[in-house]
Amino acid sequence: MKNFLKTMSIISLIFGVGAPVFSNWIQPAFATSSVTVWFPWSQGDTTPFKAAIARFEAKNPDLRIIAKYGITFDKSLAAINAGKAPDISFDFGVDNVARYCASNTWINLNPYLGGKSGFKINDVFPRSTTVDLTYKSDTCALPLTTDAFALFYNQALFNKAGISAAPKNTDQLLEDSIKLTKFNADGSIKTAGFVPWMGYYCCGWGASTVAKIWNAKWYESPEQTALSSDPNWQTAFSWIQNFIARVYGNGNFMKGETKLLKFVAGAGDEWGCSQDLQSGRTAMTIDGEWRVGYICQSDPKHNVAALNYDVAPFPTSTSNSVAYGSGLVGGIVTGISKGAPNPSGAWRFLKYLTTDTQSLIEIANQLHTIPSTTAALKSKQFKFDPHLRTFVQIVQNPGSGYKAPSVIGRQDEDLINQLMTKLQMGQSPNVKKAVEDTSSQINSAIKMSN
Amino acid sequence: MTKIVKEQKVKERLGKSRDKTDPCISRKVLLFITRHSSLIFFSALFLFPIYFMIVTSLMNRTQSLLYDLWPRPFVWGNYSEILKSLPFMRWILNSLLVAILCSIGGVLSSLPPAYALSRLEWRGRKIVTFIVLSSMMIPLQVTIFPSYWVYSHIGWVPSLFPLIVPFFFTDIFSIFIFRQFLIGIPDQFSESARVDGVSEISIMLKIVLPIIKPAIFAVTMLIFISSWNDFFMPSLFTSENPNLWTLPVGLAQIYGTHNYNANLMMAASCLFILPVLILFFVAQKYFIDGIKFSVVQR
Amino acid sequence: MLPWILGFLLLDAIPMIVSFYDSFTKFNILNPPKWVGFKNYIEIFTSDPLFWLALRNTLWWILFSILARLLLAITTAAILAKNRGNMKIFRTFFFLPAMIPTVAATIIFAFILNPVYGPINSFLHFIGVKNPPLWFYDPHWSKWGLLILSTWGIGDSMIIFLAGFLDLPDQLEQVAELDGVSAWKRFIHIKIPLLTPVIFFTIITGVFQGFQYFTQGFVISSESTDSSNSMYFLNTHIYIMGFKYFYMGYASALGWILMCLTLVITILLFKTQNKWVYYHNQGKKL
Repeated sequence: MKNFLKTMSIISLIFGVGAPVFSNWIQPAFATSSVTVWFPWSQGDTTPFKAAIARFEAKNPDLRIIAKYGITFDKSLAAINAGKAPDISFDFGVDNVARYCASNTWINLNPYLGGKSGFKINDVFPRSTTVDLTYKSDTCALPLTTDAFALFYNQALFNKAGISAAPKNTDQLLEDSIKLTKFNADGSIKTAGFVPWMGYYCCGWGASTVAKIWNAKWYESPEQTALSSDPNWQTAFSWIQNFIARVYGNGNFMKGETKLLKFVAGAGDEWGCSQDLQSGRTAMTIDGEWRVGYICQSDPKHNVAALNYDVAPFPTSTSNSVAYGSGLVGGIVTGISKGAPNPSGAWRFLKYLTTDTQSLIEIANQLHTIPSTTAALKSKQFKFDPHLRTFVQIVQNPGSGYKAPSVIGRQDEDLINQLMTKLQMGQSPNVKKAVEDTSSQINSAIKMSN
Repeated sequence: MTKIVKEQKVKERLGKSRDKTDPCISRKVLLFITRHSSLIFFSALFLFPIYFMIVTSLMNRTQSLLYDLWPRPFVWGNYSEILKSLPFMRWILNSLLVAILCSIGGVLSSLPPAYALSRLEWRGRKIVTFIVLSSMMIPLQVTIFPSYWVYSHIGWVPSLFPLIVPFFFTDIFSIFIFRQFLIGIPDQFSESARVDGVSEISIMLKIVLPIIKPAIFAVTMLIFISSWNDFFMPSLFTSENPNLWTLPVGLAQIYGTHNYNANLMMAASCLFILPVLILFFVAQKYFIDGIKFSVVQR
Repeated sequence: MLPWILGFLLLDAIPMIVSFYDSFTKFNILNPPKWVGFKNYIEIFTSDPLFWLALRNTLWWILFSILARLLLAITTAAILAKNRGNMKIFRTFFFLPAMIPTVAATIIFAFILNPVYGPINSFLHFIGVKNPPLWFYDPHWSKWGLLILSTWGIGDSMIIFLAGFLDLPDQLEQVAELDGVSAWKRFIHIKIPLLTPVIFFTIITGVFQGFQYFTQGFVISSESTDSSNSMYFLNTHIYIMGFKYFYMGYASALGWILMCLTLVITILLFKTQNKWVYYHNQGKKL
């Protein structure tokens, strides 16, 4: 027993003392003229970043960029929390930026923006990409690249059904869908015109899309949601019920819902060549600009036919005062961490990465997305697939944006998504009450986070 | 009945049964067939998803996202692509290092406490057992942030230490398994040895240990596998240093944000389970085959 | 024993204590914690409908997964415990699924159980089933799909029972065999009772793991179109509250409630131990 104890204590000693020494030896010593950047991308996606770093270091020989790849943002968050933050990190989506600003997780960039090397945000970025990055007049993040959502439609199916142009409003959307929808002999859906179903593919249909189409307000005040007070939400929900009933259920909502549930379960894999738009199973979908990069070439051996398609902005509701042509926009954001070892150096690199046209174009092309500076969008160097032109226009439209920023991040959107799911499954026959319940849930969430 | 009389009776009856003729044999054959065919049937069911995995790993990207059951064409290149483009060897070495150390450390450090908790009498045993158990009840998600904070302040982030060292301070799960097995062993074994004046440690090592060899095998395999498959912990503690990545962390890079390559993913998974498979086969031979059925050693 | 206790304190107890403290605070990772007393706990019980949903789902899961697990693990281990040559191969076959990393296994199953293209439903159509279940796309069937996935990975329980069967003392069984007791009766009345410690272990760990079930449900709900929370378990709730919305204080409180629930059920089970778990040394149960 004594020997055992001895060995155990020696081992613990080695680990306890040796470890910090050993690990410090492994980690490179930090020079004051270096900037640490943690990128979430890996493999081939890192190429444009490496090129950008090389160009930057050539122009700024006094700064060294230490780049680590494959580190997702949650780890950056953990490191910031533990006090060992990287200088720069990246997050996907603008949902939480308001919270990062409020808590100073990403530092306030106003001093740098207003300083010698600063610039006016609205001169460089279209408003749609920055509208959610400020909290109480503190800007703590800059956009890197942007996503946008639009209506994809199958031109071949349109021609067959005699439809000349993409629907511009929700009434036309309904009529066109009725024309395009075809049923099998047993009554199940063969081709769907349009699928307003929560959960059908990842991101196209949900609270944020609905809010944009019907111009529904998110908040009356920072503490009060507008879900139950703004009638546009109710209009949207009723429209969806009506749509499902008329297009798929012959006037009956539950019939349409059952058929649609089955149809949606048979959706082709979102990232492959049997995706519903690609295969013609659905005639119109709302999707992000990355879909253009995923459209497959014809491959007869695997039953993949070439797709004749085009892209148009969302149809807007007939009661929507916002002009047709704006859309849902939001993307990758980046900022400087609290406790960053080298904030001024970090600012120089941050500014370069988010504004250098060549870097942004390369990154956007690699990630199948769109750069977020006006200069890059208008630049002749930005060669993009013609289908992307709609997205480029949407991003530059002053009415575009994501949703109203809030201190509870994504939670409000998730709660409304859950409400929409309940409604579409017919689980909440009393729509008004369901809306009230969700509304009070959002309000209490806001209270809780204060 | 005394032991001797019992043994005599056993011999008598054994002799009798050898005289039995056909009915017994054909019943045995029937049993054999049913047992084996149901085994084969269930094995097929169990193995089907793995068949699916292997077959998908040999398809090209387009086909892998359809639901076909046979590659057309066969793409052996998936495997070479992965092995060439990624520092597989480094990751495998790291994973092996961690998994082996964890298994050894886990077993070594869990046996004595389990032994103490099950076969010895001492005050406070009940309470300690419960404290030990209760630390298993807390979900990982809740303790992970504080743990990270602790480790990063000791200076163990990024490194492999947070993955290995806890196992050298016992693994609660293993303690529990061993405890259950140890409790099941009758006291007479230890008693007679204690009376003879043998030290407790010798009893543990020479008498009890050989008896629970299958349990040791089970625990070693379980620790090895859970360490081998673990993605969450290594990714949290070693992300910053690619040289320290274990296999799951490295493989996650294949998934990426815009590259959904089901075929590559499956190929990587196949490569991933190979070492564990080999270990299982080998370890079976070492631990289980050597067991004598009779527990009456003396 | 001492180094063990020290290490345990350092590495396990500290995070536990910190999270306990956190549960009484309003902590959102981004800011330092702020003490709020029992507010989190009250919130959970009074104004969180998701908590009760998650609780229901989790309890269902614990019950059914333990049942399925016990049945299948005991059966397979019983058959495979004979030490004949070809059994080794079969043991490997049944154990294989347990070796596959969780996420990969879940994705494979999402493919296989796909309602329209997946092989399982194609097979069901083939043998004439008119409307095979929509599995992960249908809230009524999704948990059964998860159950199948979990029983497929039964290898780890199986080897523990295997060890158990191999450890059984033979005398009792041989005597019974010679006394003419049938194989089935021998199984039920001799082997199973002797195995009760292992069964007890499987149930207890089943309870632990059941309460902490998360990964598979989470991966599937991001793969399928069913967003109706049929696969929302307690641990899912903790993850979303803590890691998605950054309410670490709330999540810590949830975690401790989860632990208390587990503790309560475990204590109850331990108390009933006397009645049905057979240990060789009757005097030293706990």
